[in-house]
Amino acid sequence: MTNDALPPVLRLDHLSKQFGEFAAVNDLSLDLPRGSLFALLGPNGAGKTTTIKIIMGLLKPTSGTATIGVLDSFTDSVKVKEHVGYLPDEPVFHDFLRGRELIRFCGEMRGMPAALIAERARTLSDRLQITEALGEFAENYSRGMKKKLGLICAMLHEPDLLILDEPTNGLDPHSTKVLHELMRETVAAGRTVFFSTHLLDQAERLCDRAAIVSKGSIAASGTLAELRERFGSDRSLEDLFFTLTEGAVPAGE
Amino acid sequence: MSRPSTPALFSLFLRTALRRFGNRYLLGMQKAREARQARKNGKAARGATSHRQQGKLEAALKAGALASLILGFISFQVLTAFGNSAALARVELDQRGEIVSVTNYSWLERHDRNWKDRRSSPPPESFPNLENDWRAAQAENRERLAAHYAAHGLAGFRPAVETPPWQGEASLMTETARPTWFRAGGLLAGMAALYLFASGLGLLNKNVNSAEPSLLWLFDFPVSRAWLFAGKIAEAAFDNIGAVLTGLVPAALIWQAGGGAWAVFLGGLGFGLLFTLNAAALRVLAEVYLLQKFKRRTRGILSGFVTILSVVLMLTLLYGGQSPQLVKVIVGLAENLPAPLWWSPFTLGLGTDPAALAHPLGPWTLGVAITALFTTGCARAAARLTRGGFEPSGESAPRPVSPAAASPEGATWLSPLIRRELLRLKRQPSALVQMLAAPAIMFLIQYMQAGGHVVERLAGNESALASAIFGFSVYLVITSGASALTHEIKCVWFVLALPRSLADTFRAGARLAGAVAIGLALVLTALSLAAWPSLAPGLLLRLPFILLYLWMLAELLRGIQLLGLSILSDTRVALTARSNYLTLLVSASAGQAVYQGNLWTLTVMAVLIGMLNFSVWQKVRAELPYLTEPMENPPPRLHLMHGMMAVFFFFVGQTVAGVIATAAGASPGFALVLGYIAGGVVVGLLTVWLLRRAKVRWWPEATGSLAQTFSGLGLGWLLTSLMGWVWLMVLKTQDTLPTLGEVSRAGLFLLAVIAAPIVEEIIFRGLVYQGLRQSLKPLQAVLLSSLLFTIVHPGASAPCVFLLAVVNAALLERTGRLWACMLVHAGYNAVVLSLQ
Repeated sequence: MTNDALPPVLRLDHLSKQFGEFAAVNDLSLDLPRGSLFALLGPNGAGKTTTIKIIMGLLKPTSGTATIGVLDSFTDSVKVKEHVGYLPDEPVFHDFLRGRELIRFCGEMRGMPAALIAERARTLSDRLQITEALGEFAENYSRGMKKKLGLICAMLHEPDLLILDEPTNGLDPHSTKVLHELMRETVAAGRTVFFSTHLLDQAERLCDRAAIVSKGSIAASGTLAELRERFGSDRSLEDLFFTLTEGAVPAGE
Repeated sequence: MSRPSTPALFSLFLRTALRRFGNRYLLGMQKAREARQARKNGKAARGATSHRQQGKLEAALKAGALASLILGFISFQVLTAFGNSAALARVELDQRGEIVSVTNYSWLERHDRNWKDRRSSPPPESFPNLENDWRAAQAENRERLAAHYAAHGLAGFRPAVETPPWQGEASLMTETARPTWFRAGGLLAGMAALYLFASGLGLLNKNVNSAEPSLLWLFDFPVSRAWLFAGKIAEAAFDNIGAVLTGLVPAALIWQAGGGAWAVFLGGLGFGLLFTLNAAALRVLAEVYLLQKFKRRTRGILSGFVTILSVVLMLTLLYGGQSPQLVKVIVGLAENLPAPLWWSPFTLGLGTDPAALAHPLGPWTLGVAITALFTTGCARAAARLTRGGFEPSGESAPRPVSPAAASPEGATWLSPLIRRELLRLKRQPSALVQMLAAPAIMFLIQYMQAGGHVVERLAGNESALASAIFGFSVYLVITSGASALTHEIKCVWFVLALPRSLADTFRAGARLAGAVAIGLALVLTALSLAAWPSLAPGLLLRLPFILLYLWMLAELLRGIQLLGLSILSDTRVALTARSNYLTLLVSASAGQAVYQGNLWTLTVMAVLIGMLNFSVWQKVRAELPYLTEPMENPPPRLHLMHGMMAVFFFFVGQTVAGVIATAAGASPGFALVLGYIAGGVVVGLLTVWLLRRAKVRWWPEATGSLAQTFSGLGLGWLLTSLMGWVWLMVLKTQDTLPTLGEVSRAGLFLLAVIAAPIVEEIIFRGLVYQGLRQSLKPLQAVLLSSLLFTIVHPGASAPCVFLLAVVNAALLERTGRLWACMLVHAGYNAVVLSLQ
């Protein structure tokens, strides 16, 4: 296991979130060691996005805590953001701002010098092939382009923890490939990536650790090797997924 | 792929429409039920804020009330404008055929008459011009009609009503009165204006920018566009179902024309349905048209104008309180609605004049005209839809990038927040239109209503001028806040993902708006001074306060708007009506202070706005982390806002009870005591019942020892009493001692030594001071709470009252015993009273 001496970069401790009678997240516990590439797997409606929103301090857990490093994600929500980059499932940007201006705004809000912002934005946008469109108003972007812009904003400050909610939704194959490279490079640089997906092959190819969520709680978690060991070495992640989420609505996309 | 049959399709649309209509109300009720449940489960109801979806029913009712008010106002104006002319007058004749009276039907003039009839005293000073104009016009008209009668006799007139449905005198109109066809046209134009206004309201409700996306979606189905359109109209009609009530107008006409009960009922219903369908058709047409014809940018401008129109109407009604013309409008409205729709000489003549009935352009033609309008409207829209492709404008994929757009950015000396706001202002035309055009429109409306009087009044009156400058500038703050917040919340995730507190982000925008408003106020003041140099002293005295108010109000109003946000979904935000009323109320009372121009009032208002600002932002800071959270509430805690509410309710309760007691014939002394007790009871209820219900702990916990408390109490009492004695000596030498009047000695003693210490200590130390202490250091909290305590007392006793407040706040800080403060207060009051 990597870096056991250090506190986990993300710790979810008996996290629950009720919406009225409905429990979106139910007693979910998870430790995420530094430098891992982690996939949160689950069918639609399993509570992935709710969990991510709690980690981002957008929602307050009904009980339990989400801790990033030593900071509570809700009470220290401003300080937490210094270490986190976030890409939502459906990013919405300010009207009347161009892509380039949004990136610059993000960078300056994080106190980065203009030259550094320009340099990193250039590298990322070239790789994602969006440089041409950065002069256009972001509200005119297609869904995939919004995702790319959101990704640049999230990765601009090289965060310790990168949180991506369904990152490949709406991306073309080329961009998906680039995204996967970027995720691997981030982890290789010692930082952590946390992403949610319902695409099993994607998870299997990319991540070193995974958790399968079903009906708001974790059905299984660990490194891929651990998961295989526990549930039989010959089984694919897909088999495992369907076994564990049985009864839940299967991922339909 | 098979196509649905026509009846099946129509039934589908109708069912969908009904379901949507019903769901809206079901949703409202469901939300209300959930809120009740949450309260029952011990989750404190949020005070002034809720980001939960508001009960839609409540919102719909409020919107309906506002809309009917505005609608009534406009229709009234239009109908009377067409109905009135100098030639149209009512002539009363006596038995011998002599002219008894001549009445102009101009409703403003009629109002003047009412005003005169009602009050035996002459009209107030501010009305001289209108009064003279009215007299002159009446005299001239009377002469003209007398000459007409002399020349033609009774044959020169025709009856407005052959057999009047109301008892009373016969009305005659001159032959030269506007012809029937002209009045019929006028009525038609009035109805058309109503339609347009209703569809405008409908559009406003929907926001032009997000014009009917479901229409686009429906095009995916194998159904002809004409049918789609028909279905959408049926659906849209349910959105504005109250419009059927407009059938009351034609129903009244038919009744006046002598129609039977069935004719009245069926005619009214028919007209109402036609109106509803027509309005719906216009709306769908407008949506399709807007979506097809205009780019997003232009739609933004249009939406801006529609918004302005409604806000300006509201503001004019509010600010117009200082203009006699507007007083007339409001009083006239209250007196004449809905009567003018029935009584307007225009509709009266049209509806009851047999000639008008027989005339091809009589009221029955109206029905034909409306039907024609409806049919052509539908036909045009259907044609537009069926003709070729339907491409919404400006929504397509990225346009080619211009080299200029991709060029490197400019200087970086501005903070990112401010630069982003500036960029938005530059590029969001609707916001710019709102901010810059609104003051001009406001002036125009005033000008149209009062003609030259506005300029005349402003030129000669520094109060009016100063409050106008303030009103224009503060309007800019209000509209910019509403547009900036809805814009910001749409992508709140984006701002939330940055390591900067939301409060900072929102405040930066508010400060920018404040700076722009201050700039506008300075420009307006400079222009006014250049035009009327003689007004300089009065204007320059108020200017620093105007600028200070604007700066503080920019933050305060943004805070109120933030607390009143209602987040409907991730991308849709609405400002609740409550927050709109509050912003208008606060700025109107500041405008009132500017108008008065009294230095003490201005200072008091400055302190009040400052404290309100502080209290609102204290609450905003506590609430903001929960902005995106639909289920949880911030932990209950005492806020300065509780104290400010207590202060407010205390004085309102006191005043209202005092006024009622005086009106009931109580002596001033008794009224004073009664008012004070009533105010105290209100505050008691507020603190004990409301705060307990909200689970807020406010009774301070004792910290110091009893010995310390008593020594502090004694020292404080000595100090304040000494100061009271010295100050009384000073006042006596200056002979400015306030007189006690007829207040009985015992009542006053009861008030000053028992009631006042209890109530005032609970409010100013228990709630205000402790509320301030939540986010301030002891010294700051002591000074601020004492300042508030001082300004609510008469100016003459300011130094003593300030010292008393400081002593008591310090005592509470050290000992945590509120009863000690009450004792010091009672002791001080007793000493001062006995010395007086």
